[in-house]
Amino acid sequence: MKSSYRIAEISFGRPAWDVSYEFEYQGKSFEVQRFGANFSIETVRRLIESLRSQVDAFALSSLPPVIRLDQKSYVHRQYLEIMGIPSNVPLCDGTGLREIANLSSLIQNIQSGQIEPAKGVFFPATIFSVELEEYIRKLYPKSIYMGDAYSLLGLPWLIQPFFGLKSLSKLVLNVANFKELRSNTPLADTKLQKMSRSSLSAQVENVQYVFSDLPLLLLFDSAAEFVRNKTLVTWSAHPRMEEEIKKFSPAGIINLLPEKFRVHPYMNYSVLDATLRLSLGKTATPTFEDWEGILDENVETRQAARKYVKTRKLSTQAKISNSFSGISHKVLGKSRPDFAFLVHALSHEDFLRVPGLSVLRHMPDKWNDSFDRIASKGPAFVYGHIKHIISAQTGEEINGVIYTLPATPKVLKNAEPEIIYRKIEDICYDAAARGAKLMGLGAYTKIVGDQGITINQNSPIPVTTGNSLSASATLWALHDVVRKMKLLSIDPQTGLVDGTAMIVGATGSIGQVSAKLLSLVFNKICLVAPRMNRLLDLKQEIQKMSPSCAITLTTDANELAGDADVLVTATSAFDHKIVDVMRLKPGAVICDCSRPLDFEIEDAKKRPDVLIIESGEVVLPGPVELTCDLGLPGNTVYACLAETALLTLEKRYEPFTMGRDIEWDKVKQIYRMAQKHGVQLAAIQGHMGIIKDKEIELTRQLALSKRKK
Amino acid sequence: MSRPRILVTGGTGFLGKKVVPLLRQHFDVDVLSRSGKTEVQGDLTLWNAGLSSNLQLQQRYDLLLHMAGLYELTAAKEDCFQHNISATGMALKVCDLLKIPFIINTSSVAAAINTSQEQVKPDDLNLSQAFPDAYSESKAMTETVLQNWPSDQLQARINLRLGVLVGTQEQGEIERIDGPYYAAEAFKKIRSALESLSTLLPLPGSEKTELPLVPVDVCAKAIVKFCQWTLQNKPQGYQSFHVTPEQGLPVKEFYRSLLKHLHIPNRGVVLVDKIPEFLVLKASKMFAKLPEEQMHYLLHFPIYDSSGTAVVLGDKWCPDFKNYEQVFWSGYEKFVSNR
Repeated sequence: MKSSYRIAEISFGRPAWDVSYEFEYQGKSFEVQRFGANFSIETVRRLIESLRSQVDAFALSSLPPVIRLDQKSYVHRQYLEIMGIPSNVPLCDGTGLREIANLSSLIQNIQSGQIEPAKGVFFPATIFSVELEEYIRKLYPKSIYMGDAYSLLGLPWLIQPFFGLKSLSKLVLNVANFKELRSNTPLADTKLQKMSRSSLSAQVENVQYVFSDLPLLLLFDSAAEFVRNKTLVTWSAHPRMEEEIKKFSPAGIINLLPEKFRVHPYMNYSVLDATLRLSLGKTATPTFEDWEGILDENVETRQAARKYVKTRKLSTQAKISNSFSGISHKVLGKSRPDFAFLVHALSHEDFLRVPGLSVLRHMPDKWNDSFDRIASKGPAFVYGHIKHIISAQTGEEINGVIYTLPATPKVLKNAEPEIIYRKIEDICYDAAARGAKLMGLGAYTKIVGDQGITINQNSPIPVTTGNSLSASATLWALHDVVRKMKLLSIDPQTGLVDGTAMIVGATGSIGQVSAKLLSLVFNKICLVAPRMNRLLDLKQEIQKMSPSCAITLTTDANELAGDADVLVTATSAFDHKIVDVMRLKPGAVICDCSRPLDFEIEDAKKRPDVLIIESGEVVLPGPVELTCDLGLPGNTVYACLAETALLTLEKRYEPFTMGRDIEWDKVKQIYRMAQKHGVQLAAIQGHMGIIKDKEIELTRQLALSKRKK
Repeated sequence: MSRPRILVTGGTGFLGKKVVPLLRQHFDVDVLSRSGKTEVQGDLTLWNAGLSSNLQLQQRYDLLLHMAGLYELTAAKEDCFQHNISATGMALKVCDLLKIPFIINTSSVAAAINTSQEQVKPDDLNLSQAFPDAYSESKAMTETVLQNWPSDQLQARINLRLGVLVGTQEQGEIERIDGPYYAAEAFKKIRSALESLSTLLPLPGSEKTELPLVPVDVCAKAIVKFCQWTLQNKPQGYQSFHVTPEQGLPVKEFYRSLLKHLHIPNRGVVLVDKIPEFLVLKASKMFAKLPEEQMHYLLHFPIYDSSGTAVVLGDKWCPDFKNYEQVFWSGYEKFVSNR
């Protein structure tokens, strides 16, 4: 784990309090710099975009707060827009942490007599600290005074809790959602408003405590009247702010930010959120329970606080905010794709995933082929987008558009290549018109005809098959699983793995590179392909590269399948089984790179003592958003798509991988690019979802017991 | 005895190119820029200005002259904020990292353009009024950052609000159409309308308004003198100055000079300030293609108090417009007209 971290604090407020400082927390050093955005979302976006590759976390402060009322959360649309800015490092705003810690501090302050709510508590804007108000109101219902009518509407009415207040507050929140937080508050300007403020402050003259966030109080330009001779209870004080507020002669200032976390005078909840997440290695947003655990408050306080801070549901207002942001993004923020990628239906089942086509489930199975053929006559269309791919090294962001051909592999195989070429070329022209600079071919579209060469010649933008990274990712995944299975030993003489690796479809594009790579690692390899003459050529080539590797050739995989410790299949077989799963050795690891897959779920069920993995699945760097279903879990993408994205990040708009042969040098190059930009191997994918370490261990145990028998 | 060493940002810009050679006559100068062609490679939009813990961090500087920034009245808010405010924060951090005791920041008279006072002092800012553009807002905010930045080792922060920079006194050399030069372009577009009037020419403006024009070479000399003054006098805290002429150029005088230069016959000029401003702005833009932002400044320049500046630079440090009027217009014709 790192020992020094950078946190960029981006304040939605004014830049006047910008600062840079360093501190130590739990043996780790932190460097913080604040940047004020003066209520401009675009400035926040710019700062995040330019700094995200250089910092470990963003602390976002002075955002419109998330308000919890009646166990629902109310979220301002500006908040959602800011938190939706893509970043590969966490965006921390202290929500959750602030409420829990503030309430715990309040309870402790009341218990120690530091705060005596019976002397009167004034909230200039209760809505921003509802949990504190609710807690005090329960114990001292007559001591609460609220200035919300003034702070939200400019009316000089002091409110005390009354029946129906909650409903009114919700109504106000819904309206406030459409009001933007701006720098120049109208509450300070006119004579009428100044009179209103004076009237309000006269009404709270005998109140002892003012509960308010300091920036809010200073924004009101009303601190003079509200805090004179009163104790100010706040949670965002820092030396400059306190200096400012002291001009208005408060009797004292109590900071609710827990003492133990005030490791620097400029510490605030957003920076603390980032500090805690980084020091604990938790980049995801912590849950309510996580924060409770981290804060480690005593159980009694925790229980007392819990019901005031825990949110159960999203409010209607928050949902509206969400939709509003979504729509405005679609209308205003339509980004041009940097690259395009083409997929197609991998089986008839894929049609059923298309919204509205699930009714096809009820169609008789015998009609499936006819349906597939008819569907394939339809044009290709934009299936979805892949957004916010951000290089881990350069911080550059790219987006892609994903097209689909409504054709299954069977239909594609039987169609004339020229017809498929024309369809794909049309897509290339459409992608170019949208601004894409590179096209990637997925699944069977890269196998059809001359494997991309003709398509590339006729396309206005370069085309790549993505097979270089597919090959890399295959071996990457295989290496991971073999290591975890711990069934093979390493020959101390040669440094090679003592075992046999079989490559089915060895003369194919991915097969050849896999064979070459595996010959460098295993002391025996077995190459399988339908044509012996091509196998002999390949054998000669590999023998030059790896003279100590024993090479066996066969045109029938089943003949030698029982000897294989590792089996890589990279075929394009449609109607027949290439390998009989029952012939495999217990503990064998199968890497199924074929599309359609060579092994089916039934095969995996028949042999729980062998491990079947699908190859080529990776995750791209950044908070990637995939708007369509590629049939892979989460944000996992095919390696060939990742290759297209990587080339785009590198601005290498070229037909990087083309034709049947993958260049050895290209495989190495693309692997280096993947490392540089932060592409990671996805959780290893099997036929029935992600293969966890537990399943690997179970397979290993079953294999060992079967081998004993 | 070794000469003081100064680190300069913005040394490759229009103003910087005039300042740096003059600075080198008195100081050892390192220019920080993104170009890779200056002494220090750095970028104020990057964390720690992109300075690694290499040689630069071991170099001792006596002063940071911060001139980098975006000067563009029509630029987007995020650009102005990043290159002016955030970059100044980064420059201040560089002072902290390199333990530089003095910083001189070049701001602009635009920072006080929204003032409600007739005469504005160098540290007056009006943050409760809206600004006419993101540029002026960013310059005002930058001054608050400079003023408030907490630092134990910075002895003084000097803020120089520069006037409207025009071509050099010697040749009138300028790089782009800006400020008063826009008026010349506008007058060319409405020449026939102006010529057809047989009365006094009604032109927008107020009798009280003065244009704070400063030739760029004169401004460069002033900045160098401020560097010398700072290192000799070692001031403390925050001090701001208007680098503007003691008496600006009255708008009416400017119009007269312009009409004369363009050989537009006229019976004199009468300034009109009673027409609603939005009409003036829209009409100027529509008929004369004069950007609204430029017209706004022409209508709203307050009087800038430069009494403190005279103490440092002496009286008459900035020539009257009439002394370089000829060169001003010939420079306009030579360098930017017809672009």
